[in-house]
Amino acid sequence: MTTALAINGVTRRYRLGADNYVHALRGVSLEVEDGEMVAIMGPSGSGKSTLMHIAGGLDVPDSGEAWIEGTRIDTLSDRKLTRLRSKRVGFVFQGFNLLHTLTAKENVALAAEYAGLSKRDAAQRAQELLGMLGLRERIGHRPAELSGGEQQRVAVARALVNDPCMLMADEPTGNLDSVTSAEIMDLLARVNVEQGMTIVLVTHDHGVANRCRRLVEMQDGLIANDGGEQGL
Amino acid sequence: MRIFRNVFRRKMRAFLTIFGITIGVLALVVMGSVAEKLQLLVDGGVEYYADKVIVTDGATFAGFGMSPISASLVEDAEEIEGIERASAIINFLLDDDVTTISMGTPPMVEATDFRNVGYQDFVTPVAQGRDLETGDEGKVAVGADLVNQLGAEVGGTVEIRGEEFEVVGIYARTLSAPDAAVVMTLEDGQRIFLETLPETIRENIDADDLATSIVLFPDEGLDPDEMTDVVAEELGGDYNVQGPAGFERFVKEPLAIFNYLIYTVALIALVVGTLSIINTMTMSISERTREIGVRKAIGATRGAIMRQFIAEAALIGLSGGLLGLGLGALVVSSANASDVFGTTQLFLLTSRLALGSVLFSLVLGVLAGLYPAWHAARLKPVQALRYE
Repeated sequence: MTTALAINGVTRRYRLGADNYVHALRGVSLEVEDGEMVAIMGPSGSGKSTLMHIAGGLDVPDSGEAWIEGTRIDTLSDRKLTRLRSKRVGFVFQGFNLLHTLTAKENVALAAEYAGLSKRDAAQRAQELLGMLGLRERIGHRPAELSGGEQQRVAVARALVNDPCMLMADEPTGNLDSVTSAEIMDLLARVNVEQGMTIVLVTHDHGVANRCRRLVEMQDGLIANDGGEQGL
Repeated sequence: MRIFRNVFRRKMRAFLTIFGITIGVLALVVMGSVAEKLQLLVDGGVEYYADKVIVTDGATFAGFGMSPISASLVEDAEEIEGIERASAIINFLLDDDVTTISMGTPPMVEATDFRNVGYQDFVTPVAQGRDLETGDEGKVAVGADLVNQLGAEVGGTVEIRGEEFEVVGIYARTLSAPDAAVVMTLEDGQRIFLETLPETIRENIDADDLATSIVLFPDEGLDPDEMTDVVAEELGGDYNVQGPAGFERFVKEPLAIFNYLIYTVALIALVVGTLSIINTMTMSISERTREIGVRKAIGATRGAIMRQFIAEAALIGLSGGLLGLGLGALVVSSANASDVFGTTQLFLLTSRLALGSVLFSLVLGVLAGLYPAWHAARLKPVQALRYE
């Protein structure tokens, strides 16, 4: 197995005011193997979202290193980091974060356009993907016209549209009821198993965490427990 | 289409911002149309005066003479070496009601002895009927702007200063001074002009010797401006002698100042509109911070974000420009059709003014979008995503 993600001694603090800092990460190290599905749990403020942001190239650490599939990302320029995010990392957010002026298809296609696909190819790819996720009839609808589950499936489609090597999900079921949550987790598990995609997800929900093969628990900016492979 | 949806997600705000630009462009188009028309009038004047020396009474200036001088100066002038031809002209206001204020060129009567025919480069083309010629006493040719005012038609009659004249021709529109002129023979002009003079002067003047200006055509190859001193010296007396440069000096500089003023007023209106675009875009970006974070998270480069917001600002500018041009064209055509500003068509909306106004509003939109777009592009994705 190869390493999909490596975090070595990463620290990150945020300035709240003059001489007032909050230490989100205090020297975290974590390795995720290719094809793993990892849940990161922990109380609010434990640093799990910050860890995911750094791991996905949305944020850079104050110190330490972050690697994705052999590429050190914490030293990349903004342009290169953007390109890496676009092609190699897919994001799913708690609040879906779809652009409400765009249709489902346009939301998915936009990510492909940013990755360099022509508008036509991006639209075709988005249509195929939404069809595979059971949203063929909903592609022309805007987010406000879709249910929470449908919106999150569109968000998953957007995350997958550029065939990334890794999917980062921040509370992907946080805004969903239990039935819809289960559907989304089924979808993510299917992507993990069928496509061998590495998935790192942050959650508060033990039920969701239990669907993952590995559980990492965080406390006060440190990894409190890395359970390794857990039984499903 | 996506740009449209983004701009009009807050319809009222978008429309108000566009309206701000619309007002600016409307001012630019309307005021610019006045400047364009005046420029054309001046260009026509420059062309008219280019080949001649004008002699008028010493009390007048720059060749705009309406004081009486002797028509016999024609013979004296033709004696001067370097002067090939001279022609007597009478100019007087068409309307004797001098309290009427007319913008642009006031309606005039030009009475000519036709001695200038064949020597003068500036010829007003005839649209209907024929041009006036020697022996056409009791007949006139009418400029395009005066057709409606006088109820002129070829073969019909018009009343000028209480006298009936047969219309032999109507001139084509030149968008310059001849549009507001009636041309008659010198004899008819002398008779009417004499009646306009105070009685004490009238008693001492022979109508046949009346003129208001003498137009001199130098020999081919001679510069009219260089002939003015020679003519002044040879004629002696108290005359004003002007060449083309005198006219340009008299008219061009004030026109340039006038243009500068009206364009400045219009530009100020447009700059205010531009500030409203900056304000709108800044507010829009503030409201859409989270969206910017999402876009960056899924792969939007700084360039892509910049392009998006500049395009939105440009769309606002362009929409305002097109709307302002449309409204401006409506105002200009309505004003030209009405007689609010007298019979002269005061406004001229040229294609360069129309295109320039719209392009300018587009450029202002782009410039107005630069700072907000730059600010949006520099947002950190994580901070933008966390923005509530």
